Amino acid sequence: MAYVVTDNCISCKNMDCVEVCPVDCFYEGRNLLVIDPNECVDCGLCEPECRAGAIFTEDDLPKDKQRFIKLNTDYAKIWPVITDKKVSA
Amino acid sequence: MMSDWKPSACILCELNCGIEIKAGPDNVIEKIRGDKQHPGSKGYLCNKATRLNHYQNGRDRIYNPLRRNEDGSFDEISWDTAIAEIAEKLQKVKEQHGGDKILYVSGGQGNHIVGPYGASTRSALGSIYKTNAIAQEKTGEMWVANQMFRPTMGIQRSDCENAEVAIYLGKNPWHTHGFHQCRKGLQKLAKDENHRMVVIDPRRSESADIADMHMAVKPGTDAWLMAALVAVIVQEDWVDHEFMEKHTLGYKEISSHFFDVVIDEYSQECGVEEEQIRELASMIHNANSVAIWEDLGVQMNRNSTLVSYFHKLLLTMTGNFGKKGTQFISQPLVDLASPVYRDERRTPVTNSRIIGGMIPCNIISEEILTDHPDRMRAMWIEGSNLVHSYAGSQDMAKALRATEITVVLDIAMTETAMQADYVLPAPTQFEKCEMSLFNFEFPHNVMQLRHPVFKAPESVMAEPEIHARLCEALGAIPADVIETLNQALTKGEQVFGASFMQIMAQQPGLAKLAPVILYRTLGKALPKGLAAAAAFMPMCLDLAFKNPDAVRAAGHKGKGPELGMNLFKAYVESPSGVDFSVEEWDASFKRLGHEDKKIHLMLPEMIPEIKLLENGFKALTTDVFPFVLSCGERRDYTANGIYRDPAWKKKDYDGAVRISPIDAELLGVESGSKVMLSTRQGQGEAVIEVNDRMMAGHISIPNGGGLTNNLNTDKPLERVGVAANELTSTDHRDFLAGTPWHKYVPANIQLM
Repeated sequence: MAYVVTDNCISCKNMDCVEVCPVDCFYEGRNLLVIDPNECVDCGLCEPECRAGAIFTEDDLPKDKQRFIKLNTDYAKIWPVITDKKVSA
Repeated sequence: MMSDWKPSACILCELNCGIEIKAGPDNVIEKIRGDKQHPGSKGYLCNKATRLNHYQNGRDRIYNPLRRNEDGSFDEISWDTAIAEIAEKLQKVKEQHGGDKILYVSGGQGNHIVGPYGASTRSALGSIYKTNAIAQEKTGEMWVANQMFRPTMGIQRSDCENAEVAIYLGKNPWHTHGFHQCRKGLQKLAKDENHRMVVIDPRRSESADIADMHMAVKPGTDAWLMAALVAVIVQEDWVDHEFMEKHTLGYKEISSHFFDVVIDEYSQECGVEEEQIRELASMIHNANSVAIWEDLGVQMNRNSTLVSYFHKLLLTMTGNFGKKGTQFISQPLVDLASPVYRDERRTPVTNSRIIGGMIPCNIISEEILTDHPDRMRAMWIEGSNLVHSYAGSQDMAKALRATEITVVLDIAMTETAMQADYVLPAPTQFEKCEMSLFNFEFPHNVMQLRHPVFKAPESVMAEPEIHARLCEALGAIPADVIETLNQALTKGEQVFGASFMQIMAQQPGLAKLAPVILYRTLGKALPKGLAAAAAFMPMCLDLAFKNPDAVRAAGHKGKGPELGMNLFKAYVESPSGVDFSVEEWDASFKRLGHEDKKIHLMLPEMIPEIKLLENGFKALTTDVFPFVLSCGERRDYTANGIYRDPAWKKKDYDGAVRISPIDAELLGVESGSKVMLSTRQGQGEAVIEVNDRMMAGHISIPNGGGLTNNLNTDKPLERVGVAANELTSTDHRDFLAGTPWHKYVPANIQLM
């Protein structure tokens, strides 16, 4: 089981989730972050940090967002890792 | 700008990962994150740590000293009254029955700084018997390690993190960790082709999911599995004879007990296929490094000391010692084990072995509830909720009431405090100076002095101050010594150090009072809030004296006392923790403590036990109690009892009884069914969770359930989940170490 980032993340620039991740498993695309399910350790720190309500455990993932499991898995392999919050200009 | 994140440590398991706390008003923890500066955990955390505000601001918190009335109610009293009355009553026990009749129990994960200060009070009272929860878990393994390796210092363990073959024996590291950044490490190791992970557990645990091999051993039969593994190694002659010759004694004698073992028969006893046993033996034989981590699944189970013996025999016979990925002996900061390893004493009433200086937790009630003239007459309990956490809660509660005086120090009105004559309120671990003492890592070891995050409420008192006042009330602290040292302190740290050493050399009787003496003198010169660190100054000096190369390799400079003082300074000034020892893997050989410097393979006490295995496994289940109940399963939402309110849980609120689908069908129960769970000792209402990880006939409950709501009188008593130790019996324990069989409790389930 792992945590999954969903579409509410799109265009959110807070990245508090990235700051708290103890295993650096967030990967960054242009408008969205994803979590690598093979690296996530289920610690749950990111979920309450996410003000957009975009992060769910696989168990609690709404039915209409199931496709994000695959999306997180696939893009975590391609996108660069992000470990620190970017200070907005 | 000052950061509003303050470093501390998680206090939910022995690793004590570094955390950073965002402190809010009213001593509320607003947020927690991993501390990237911590040299061990390096920012890593698991899910449980983030909920620590449920401890910091948990229910049943107490703020004033309490004295019990005859009707069981408590009155608030002042600290002066409490200290004076307690000192007088303990003194009376000492005079009438002897100080050795005062039993000292410590505890609390991460609640470690009190240790040396408690030793001062015990010295002032002449109390010589003590224990803590380690004596219901690890003492069997400690005994075996002592007999075989006789470590001159430190703890003997295995390096699973770097082993080619890592075997988790009765351990689910996904939940119980064991090494830093554990889940991250396990995921990495699972993908590593050069690493084999083996899990031995009746339950298909989360760790078993990512392991290369899962051995689903029948509950309680681990001894047959382990004996079979040793036997295959011996019979196939997969023994490292060069290592045997050079480093061990007794191979011929001990191996003779394994030549006749019929693997197929033992395989049937433990329920693991012979082919799988042979495959693992072959993996062990072919690997360059093998490590075994045994944990509560076997340590709180049948034949536990024997299983520990087979574990260490298996690794040693195959030469797995003193190199990366094998068995090691750590360099501790405070040597918890070796000074007391040689403790040959027995307890006065039950004649039980004292291992590592601790009496078995399971015998406490028997050492009190008797008319034996040498029974325990008083108890001092700090940071331990033993009525909840030790076997046979009902007997323990009676025992506490049967003493002449029982004193409990805690932050909350626990089940144990409810039975006390005096209850003394302590600050939480985030409101005082604390330390992480379980430094078992190797070859790289870390220590952390945790600075207070919050200011403690006015009316509570930290343990070092309580012990100092008690020692003073008992007249144990010579005023002239304090005065001499305080004067020396004005002349600087060098003069103070010399003066302290001189006094200790002249008056060796003061050695155990040194913590309080240092706290009252050196403590005042330490940064604000850190006086409690004073007791660790001599320990830093001692470490620098005994192993200067390791201390210097960890980055500390100087030699002799200067090196020790620099280490102490780093300790005080590094709130996120600091390395104190870095060594090479073969350093373990230097710590072999038998006179011949060899590992002794033959333990005569174990031979009759090995022979008994030939008779086969004797199940204790009956028609009345047909299930084997495993008490204390670690899950996503189990923690030690410091989370008193189940509100901390996001799921598994009731701490359900897990049962296999086959058994559930036979009983006609489903997830959510309300049942009565009963054992010979007691019973409790529980909720079912049908779980396909469970083996048929095997059921489990987590630890930490059934805590009472002791102070909220407005609401009816709320108990959620079963209190595991209301179901366990004290007489179900290991023949040698006295450790309980929590993972083998015959039980019944009835639909309500």
